[in-house]
Amino acid sequence: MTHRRTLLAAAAGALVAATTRAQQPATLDAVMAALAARRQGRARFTETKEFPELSMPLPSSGTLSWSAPDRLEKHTTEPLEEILRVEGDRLVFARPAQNLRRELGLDDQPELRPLVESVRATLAGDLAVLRKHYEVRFAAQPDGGWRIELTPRSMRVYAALQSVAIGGRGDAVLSVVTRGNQGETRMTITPEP
Amino acid sequence: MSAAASAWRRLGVALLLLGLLAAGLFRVVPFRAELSDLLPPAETPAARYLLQELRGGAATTLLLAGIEGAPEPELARISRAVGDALRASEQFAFVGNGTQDLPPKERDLLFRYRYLLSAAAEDPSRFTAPALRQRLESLIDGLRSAASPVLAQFGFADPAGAFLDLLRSWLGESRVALRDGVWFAADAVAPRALVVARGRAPGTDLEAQAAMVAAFETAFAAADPGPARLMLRGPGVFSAAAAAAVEADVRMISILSGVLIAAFLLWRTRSLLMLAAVAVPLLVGMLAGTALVFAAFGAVHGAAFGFGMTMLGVGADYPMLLVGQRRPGEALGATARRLGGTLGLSALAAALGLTAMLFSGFPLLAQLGLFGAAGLLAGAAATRWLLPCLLPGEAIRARPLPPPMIRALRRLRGHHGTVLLLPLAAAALLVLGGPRWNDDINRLSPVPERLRQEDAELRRQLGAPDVGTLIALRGADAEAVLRRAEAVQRALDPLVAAGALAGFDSPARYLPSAATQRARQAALPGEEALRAALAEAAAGLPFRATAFDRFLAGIADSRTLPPLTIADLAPAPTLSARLGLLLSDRDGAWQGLVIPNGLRDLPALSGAVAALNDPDILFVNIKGETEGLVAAATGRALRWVAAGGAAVLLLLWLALRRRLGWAAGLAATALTALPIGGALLVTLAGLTALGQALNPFHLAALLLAAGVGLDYALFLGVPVAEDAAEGDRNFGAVFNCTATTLLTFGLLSFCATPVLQGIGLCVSIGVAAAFLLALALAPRGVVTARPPCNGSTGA
Repeated sequence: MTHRRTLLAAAAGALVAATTRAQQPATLDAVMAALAARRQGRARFTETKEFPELSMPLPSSGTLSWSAPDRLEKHTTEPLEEILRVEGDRLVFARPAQNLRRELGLDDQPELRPLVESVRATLAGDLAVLRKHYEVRFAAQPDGGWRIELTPRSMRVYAALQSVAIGGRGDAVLSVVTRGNQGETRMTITPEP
Repeated sequence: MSAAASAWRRLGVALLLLGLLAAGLFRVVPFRAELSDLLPPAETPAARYLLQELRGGAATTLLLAGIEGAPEPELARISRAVGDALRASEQFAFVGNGTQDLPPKERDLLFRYRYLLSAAAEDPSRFTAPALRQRLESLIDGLRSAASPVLAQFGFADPAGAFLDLLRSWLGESRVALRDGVWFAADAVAPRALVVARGRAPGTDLEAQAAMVAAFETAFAAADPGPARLMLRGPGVFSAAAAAAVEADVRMISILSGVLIAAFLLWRTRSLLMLAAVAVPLLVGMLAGTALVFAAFGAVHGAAFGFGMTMLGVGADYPMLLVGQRRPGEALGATARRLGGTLGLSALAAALGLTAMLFSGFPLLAQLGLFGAAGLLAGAAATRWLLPCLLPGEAIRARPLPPPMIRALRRLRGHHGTVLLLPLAAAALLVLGGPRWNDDINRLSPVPERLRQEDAELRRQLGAPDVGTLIALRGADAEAVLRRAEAVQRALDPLVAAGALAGFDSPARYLPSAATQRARQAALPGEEALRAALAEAAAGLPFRATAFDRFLAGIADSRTLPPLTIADLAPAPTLSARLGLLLSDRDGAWQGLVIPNGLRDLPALSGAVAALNDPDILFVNIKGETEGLVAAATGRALRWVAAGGAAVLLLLWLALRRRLGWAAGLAATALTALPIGGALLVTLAGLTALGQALNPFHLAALLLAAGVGLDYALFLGVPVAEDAAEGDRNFGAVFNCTATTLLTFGLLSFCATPVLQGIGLCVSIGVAAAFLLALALAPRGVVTARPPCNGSTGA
């Protein structure tokens, strides 16, 4: 008797949970969990950079690839080939046409790691790292999309970088908008299957 | 019994008086512990400069630290905590442990002065339309790239790229790995965080050095280090470590050898009185040595006192020789009169040999020579005149050696076969290629080898390569030194271009002279010209009209800035730290350093500097200079040792001639000198076989060994009465001396301090060989009561 009632209650509970997930907008924890569950990803991107000193934006495009836990590569193909790869604590920056290759530690400059982690920690679903560098605000959209707004905690970083806004849906990141006092960069991402 | 009781009373009073005297003396005499006293004197300006730098140069204010023994994140945390605490302590001019990031204030200062500090600004073509066009195109290109934040920050205000060029040339390539924002050794097996700190006080200020070390240790302890260890190296630590090492060695030796010698004497005499009797000449010798060194030098070096006391240990021979050779029923005073001549001659000869060290030029050796000579003479005098009064009657009776030993020694006495040792040693020396001379200044340092190696390892990990050559600059003020640095720079640039030199570090690289800064100001373009050039360069590129307003304002500002001087660098700690090692104020006289690296053509470099023909610009080849320094000092010591040896021989001959006449005196001198010369030969062969490279301290030890060997040769060579017991007493006494000397110096050869170890080995081998050879050449017939065979008695 008692046994059957427990079972019933559990079934009801499960039902309620399932309906909530379907109807309610996403939560930050759920988005992070979904992102963390995704171990690999490839996408195409287009990016435009705007600077107050320039009369027109500068466009570029290429591919992004992610592989958990910490490897992120941005391969720009147009208009000039450029590779930016982060793995562990090292960053590699290369422009093959100029035969330029530079390797840096993420801690070599104080602004570097926060900038990298805004994207990498998001892809890794690592909220703790995000919160270490940023105030994190989350907004769910009615259509199932979400938006994470990051504001640097360090005054020094804030002086150069005012905000990073990351938009996505489910376990996919679809846009990154970075606003600094030197200008604004908008990246639009199209995941590849 | 009454003789012993009276002896105890007299000895007690004498020792008490001597003790009081010693206590009084030690209150007056200041003791020094400066390592630089171990360095040889300089003969060339370059060597003088080098010694001065070794004593108190900028490099002596550096402390290097490794933190290891814990996981990496933990080490990083400790390193940060230690760094913060050290910076807060204000004892250090600079503390580096990680991210070499310009503080915002410093960045603003350097950015403002970019066109005065950067050599780029000197070139007017940088500001023409074609050159600017190129920069603007690459600016657009850079803005597209991932590096755009940096370019946007500096590119519009400095399209000429002066600031970024400046930073690039300063920071260069680093071999230090940065993890968690903290320096780690790149090639270490276990993680090791690295910290470097530069003190405000010069290296000669030993107290300040000790305070720096203490500050480091306190900061480390306060960082809650857990299992982590702090490894601290640098000249400040070395002074302390060296003093501690010498002290530990000297303490070990004095306690151990004291106990062993006391046990030996007790065994040989069964009398505590003998111990007290030996103490009298020792104390007298110590008092005389200390007082004389104090009078001559104004202070006594701790190491001279320590080494000197071990030398004076040899002075314990005199009472043993006296007491041991007393005939049954003879008063000690009568023995002293009988042996007085020989005793005096041997002490005088040993002292004469040691006096040679006075002229060696090493402050420490000079003190040591004086201390030893005075101590030995005073000890011998005390034995001759004081001891007989203190030991009336037959208070101490030396016991004969155990019969097997007597038999063995009797067999060795006059056994010329032992002399075969000499050709053997000579052959060994020949095979080994002769004695090796030390030319490494480090081997003269009492700093333990292990510490020096760890220091070298830390320096390598921190990316500070061994400096082989440097160019020293002098001037009345910083500006004069900076101008000389620029002159050197102009002379070396062609060498770098030709590949004779990979590059060089110069103070003017970080802070150009005011003259150069003014020249750069004068070379800056006028505003109208620059505007026109910019407009032409930007044609067709997507820049707004106002894009380069900050650049134009920056150039206008640069034109009227007062030149940046060393006094304005308070907000620039990174720049100050780089400059601090290369440009410093030494009591009102400014000194600078240009440090070449990747040198491939030494003559070209020294030639280029010589061609500047400026007495205030000095080329220093460090390895060559220090080797020359040591070689010159060794050569001088060698000459004085030879002179000392000749003087001793002369003294011997004069003394023996008076006793024996011309020809026999000469023969006796040769016979006395042969065991000593032979012993020196054997010692040289032994040291060379053991891989010891000879330095002036070895020479001093050889002198000591010779002096001691002389005792043996003289006493064993004394024609004794035709009495077997007398002969046994004779070599028994000498054997006792050899044994006690071996106990002291044998122990010394186990020391960790290289110099002490060398002295120990030298004296031990020398004394053992001298005893055996002197015994072999001693008159045989009188002992066995047989007629002398083939006249080898020398009498």
